[in-house]
Amino acid sequence: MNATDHFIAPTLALHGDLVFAQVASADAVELDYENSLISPACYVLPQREAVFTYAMAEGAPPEVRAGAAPESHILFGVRPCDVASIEYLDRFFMGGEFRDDVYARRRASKTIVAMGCTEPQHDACWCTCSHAGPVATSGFDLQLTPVGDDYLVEVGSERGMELVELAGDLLTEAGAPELLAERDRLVDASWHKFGRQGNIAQAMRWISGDDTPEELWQELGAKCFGCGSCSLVCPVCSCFDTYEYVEDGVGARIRCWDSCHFPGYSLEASGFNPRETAPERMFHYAHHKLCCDTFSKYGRPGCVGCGRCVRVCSAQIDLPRIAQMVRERGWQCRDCQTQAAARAGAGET
Amino acid sequence: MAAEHEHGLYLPRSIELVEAIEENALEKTFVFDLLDGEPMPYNAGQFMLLTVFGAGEAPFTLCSMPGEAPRVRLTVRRYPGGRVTEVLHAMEPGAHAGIRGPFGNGFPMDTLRGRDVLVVAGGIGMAPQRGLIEAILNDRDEFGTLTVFYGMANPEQMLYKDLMARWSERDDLDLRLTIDRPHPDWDGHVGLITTLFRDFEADPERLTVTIVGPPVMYPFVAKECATLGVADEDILVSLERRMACGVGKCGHCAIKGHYVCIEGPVFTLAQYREFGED
Repeated sequence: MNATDHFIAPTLALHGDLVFAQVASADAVELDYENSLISPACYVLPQREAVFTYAMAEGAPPEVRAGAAPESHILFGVRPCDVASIEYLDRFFMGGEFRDDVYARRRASKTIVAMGCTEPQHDACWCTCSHAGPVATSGFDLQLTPVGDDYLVEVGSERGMELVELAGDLLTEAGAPELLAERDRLVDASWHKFGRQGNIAQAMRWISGDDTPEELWQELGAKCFGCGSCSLVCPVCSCFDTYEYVEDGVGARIRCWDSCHFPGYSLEASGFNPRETAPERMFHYAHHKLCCDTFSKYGRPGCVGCGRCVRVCSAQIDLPRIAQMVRERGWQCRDCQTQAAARAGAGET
Repeated sequence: MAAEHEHGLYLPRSIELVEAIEENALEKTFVFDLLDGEPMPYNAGQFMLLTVFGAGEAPFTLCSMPGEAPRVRLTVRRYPGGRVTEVLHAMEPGAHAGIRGPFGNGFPMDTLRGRDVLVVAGGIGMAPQRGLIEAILNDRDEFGTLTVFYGMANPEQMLYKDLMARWSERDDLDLRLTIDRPHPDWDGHVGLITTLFRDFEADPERLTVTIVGPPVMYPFVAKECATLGVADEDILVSLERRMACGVGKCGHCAIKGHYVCIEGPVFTLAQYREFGED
């Protein structure tokens, strides 16, 4: 391992919370852990980062400098849901019409060592439904999956191969396919343990076709406290705002996480707010997560099934529940329309 | 394939304030020169993000005529407590700021070519359409008739008063002004901007209407256009949304997966009816 690469791993913080943080020794690494409340995706899209800095000067234009070079990190133990979220963020920030050079530079400094799951780590986990787990199929440099007393190591990139070569004697070649077969058997057997099933594909269909009743969003909007927690812990959510921070004559443009659940998110200087009410904001949030457009642009739904919103939403209207409600009400809505059409066809009024 | 941005996607280019023209009590037009000497080509209706160092960044539509660069012109309303506009309005010539852009699509000049154009501007909605009108005047023979409806609450609020005086002299531009309520200093038309449609005759097949104004104005003007027989595809609106990036990343301007900063800010009314929310 390169000495300049900082090793970020699941570890216990002072009061016992599991966090992804720099660890000084292997003893501090947790190997059997419930996923952290803040995703390790925060190492590719930090809560706050300086986009550029400048010295405030009288009579001369401030000299603008790009933000400091990001630190190299090996992110160890990233769960497949978070691997999927980083893959999504890569496509979002580095694809499309504009390539986000700030994100790309930070992303290039990270190596991802995933930790596949052979059972749900939390009862909120629903990656099996949102196509992100229980093991990753792409997006990692290395993936470890516990199989009995060993770990199956999968190589996902050239960088991953370099790490394997560095590890040398620690690893034995899985020449026999038995280990892989055993891993697959463990993973297959784990599927039924994921209790929470939102049937996300069906919800995507209803919401993309505008087949959701207005009352559903009124109801969800009335329940929502607008705290923004669901989007702030979501490893897929990537909305940001910017602000200036000036200290001792040096200014910085900071970008920081934002949430579409905040009324101020869309509030314009004039006082006009295109999404003034909670139901409008709730629809915007759910639509962005679940619409087929997101799927076709980024290759997956805007949810990786990590279950963090389930853990934080005090109104119990997390994304799996929203998806379930969209599925049920969307169905009713479509059903009503179909029945109405059938009645009209039969000449009834 | 995503384009690499030569200056860095988020790094502003330095500009210097040449002149701040007081339009009225709330609005000023700022004339900036780009200090790097590089051109900044843009289309009428595109916007840029203005950095006021130490205060923040905000999107504004360019109101200069395309081709005027490396000089850019922005008309900005001051909002009390506005973190960018308050500081901007206090700036004196010689002060420095930053600019990123241009962003967005702007008005579809190729589609407009050969057509009659009606520009409907409410209040500061004249600012983003000034460049459009000037671009048409600059290439006058390429377009059909040009009519401009410009409505404001009172005569004091009028932007570009000298320019309006010059435009009203022209016989290849039909400028029609209105104020909402009678005013001692005004002997022109009085009434909401929709009342200007009463004496307006047009061939709806040949006409494209552009609309920019306060949100409340759009549905009423759209209704007048429909009465005229103009198709929703021939009505263009420029949307204003909160933005923190201009390049489809910050999320603020998205409406049902459509990014106003990239796909807009100019949309046809037909497009807007598809996905719009207000």
